[in-house]
Amino acid sequence: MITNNDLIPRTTLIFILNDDCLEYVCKYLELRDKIQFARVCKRFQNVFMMTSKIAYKMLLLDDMRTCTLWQVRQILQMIEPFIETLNGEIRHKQWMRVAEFLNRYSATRPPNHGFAGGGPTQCSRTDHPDVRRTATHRSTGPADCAGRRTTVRHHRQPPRGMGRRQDGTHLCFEVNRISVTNIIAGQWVAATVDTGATISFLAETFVEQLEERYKRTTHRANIFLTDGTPLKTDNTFTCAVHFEKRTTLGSLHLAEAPPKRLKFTERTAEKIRIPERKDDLATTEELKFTKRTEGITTEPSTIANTKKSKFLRKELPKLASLQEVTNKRRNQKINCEWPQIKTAYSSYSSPITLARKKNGVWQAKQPKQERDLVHQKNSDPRPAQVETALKDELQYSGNNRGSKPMKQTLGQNFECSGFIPLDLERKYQVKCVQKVPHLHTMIDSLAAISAEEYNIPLPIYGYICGFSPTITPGGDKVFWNLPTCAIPKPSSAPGTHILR
Amino acid sequence: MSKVSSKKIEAKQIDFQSSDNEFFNIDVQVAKCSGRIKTFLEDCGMRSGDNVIVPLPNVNSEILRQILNWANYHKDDPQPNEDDRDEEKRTDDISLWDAEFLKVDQGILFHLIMAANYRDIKGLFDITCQTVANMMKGKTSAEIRETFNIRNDFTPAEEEPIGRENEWCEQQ
Repeated sequence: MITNNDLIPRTTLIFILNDDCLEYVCKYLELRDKIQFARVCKRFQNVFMMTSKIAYKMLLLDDMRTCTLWQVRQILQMIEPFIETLNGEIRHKQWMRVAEFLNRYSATRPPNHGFAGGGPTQCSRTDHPDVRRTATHRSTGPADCAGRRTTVRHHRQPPRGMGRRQDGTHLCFEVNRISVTNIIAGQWVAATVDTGATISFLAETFVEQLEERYKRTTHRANIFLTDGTPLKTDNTFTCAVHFEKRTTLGSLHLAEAPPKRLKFTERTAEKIRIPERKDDLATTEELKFTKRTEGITTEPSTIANTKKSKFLRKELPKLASLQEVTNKRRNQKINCEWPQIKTAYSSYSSPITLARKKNGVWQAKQPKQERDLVHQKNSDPRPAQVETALKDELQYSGNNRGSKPMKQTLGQNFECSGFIPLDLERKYQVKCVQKVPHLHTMIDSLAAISAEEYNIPLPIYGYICGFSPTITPGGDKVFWNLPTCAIPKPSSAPGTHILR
Repeated sequence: MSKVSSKKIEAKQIDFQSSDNEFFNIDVQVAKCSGRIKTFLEDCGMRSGDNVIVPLPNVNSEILRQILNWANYHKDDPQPNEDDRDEEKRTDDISLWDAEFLKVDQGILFHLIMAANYRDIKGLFDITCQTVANMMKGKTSAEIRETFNIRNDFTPAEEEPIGRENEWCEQQ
């Protein structure tokens, strides 16, 4: 039976509790339950905010381990004004997203700096460099992500110097870390992931790759001295490569000039047999023609006895004319020994020559020296000197290389034709560099060939940057065959090409 | 109005007067479970033989009876330290007797919380708040609303942007 009391809407009994009691209840909840608590109603949300002011000055990242990404975001959205310190490890499956949220939400100014909704500014300082949020996260996912660290820092201004991207995201590659700088709540905030790769490691790895590439393209290097004379071949010299503030030496070997290159006009001419008798046929086409006309003569008696006499009677004039043409070509080929092989002057041509066997057959062959230098992978023409140290060792000195602090240098560039793979891949994608690519921001010598001053194809630009002047053992300063736009011009603006 | 002034008050006894004018004569040791009453008695310098009546205008007789019942059971428990309050809160350390004791209606439970808060009865305040927290644990906000009969006063504009944003946020 329905009574009058049943018709009275039930009162919310929990609202008889004062805020102190609700705060105390809230303290007994775990973080994810607190989020649900805060979403019940506005009063509960206010209570949660009240408790968070004190409870989450230091946020323990372990507390968010069991939270969904949605909850993590909710937590950070609600309590981000109160967080002063992040502590602990990110043990979350979606740790990258969590790190993203941390960067996005937990990077506002401290509460005593008058954040939105806060009280008046209590501190006269405009910047708090000591406010540092540090978090160490350990991935639960791929092993290669484990052990990396992320750091969220406050900046009033974006960090200056090399490595700052120009497109607004400010992705920055620095020693041991990659960082992103962004503006949140009117303040520059940088989130950094520790890559664990030192600059010396990066520089030495880059030089190794350069040497490997150079082994294959050494005959296209076209190295010249500053006075314009070509550098002598069989010359091994070092080339300093710079990564940020460290430089390491790459050893480059200038091989002898390759022999005169020949180019085949026929695709099937791998093996070419020189006709020694005049009745030999030079081409396959003519051989086929001969087979078709074999046994057929121009004598009328023979023609009359064949079943195809009618056909041949019609085609006979054509056959006669074709045979004349064949004989004419044959004579031409014999007079000119290699009409189908021409000398190639293109730098893209294959360095293949013809060698004659004992039986008189000619065969396409590559000189052994060049094959070793150009086509044999991972082979250094020079004997190995020292064992390579472990690559994860800080500032290792494998191959007598190592790295050292960089000194004042000039920009050094290579010729574009030496970068055939890059050229061919992006021949039609040549575009001028408009911004400093993020990958190249770690290379200090970029400033010498500033993209805003010169128009250099992007792949070449990315490859040639980072080189300093090369000094040969004889003391000569070497400039490579550069795009003219990338060569520093001391005469036009003295002193302006010095990087540092 | 009934009074007990004529009654000879024994030593270490005290009277509580509820909001509905019901008197409860209890041992002082039991009464001292309330930090506020303990301070009151110490400040007033109560001596043996004094006729002391402590009015409790915010506590009705039903709630007061529950409180005294709890206090009588826990009169020999050690007093919790102030430092304990700052430690991590646990909701699974409620004794069996307390759990049975708190199997009451929400109204009584909340009044017990209020009374414990008002009278500074730490032990009772802790377990009652723990009980309420346990009622919220593992529930969604909608379930909490249903449990406590709370109206959702968030506007759709305040709630929707959160809900309809990226679905991948639900991944754990």
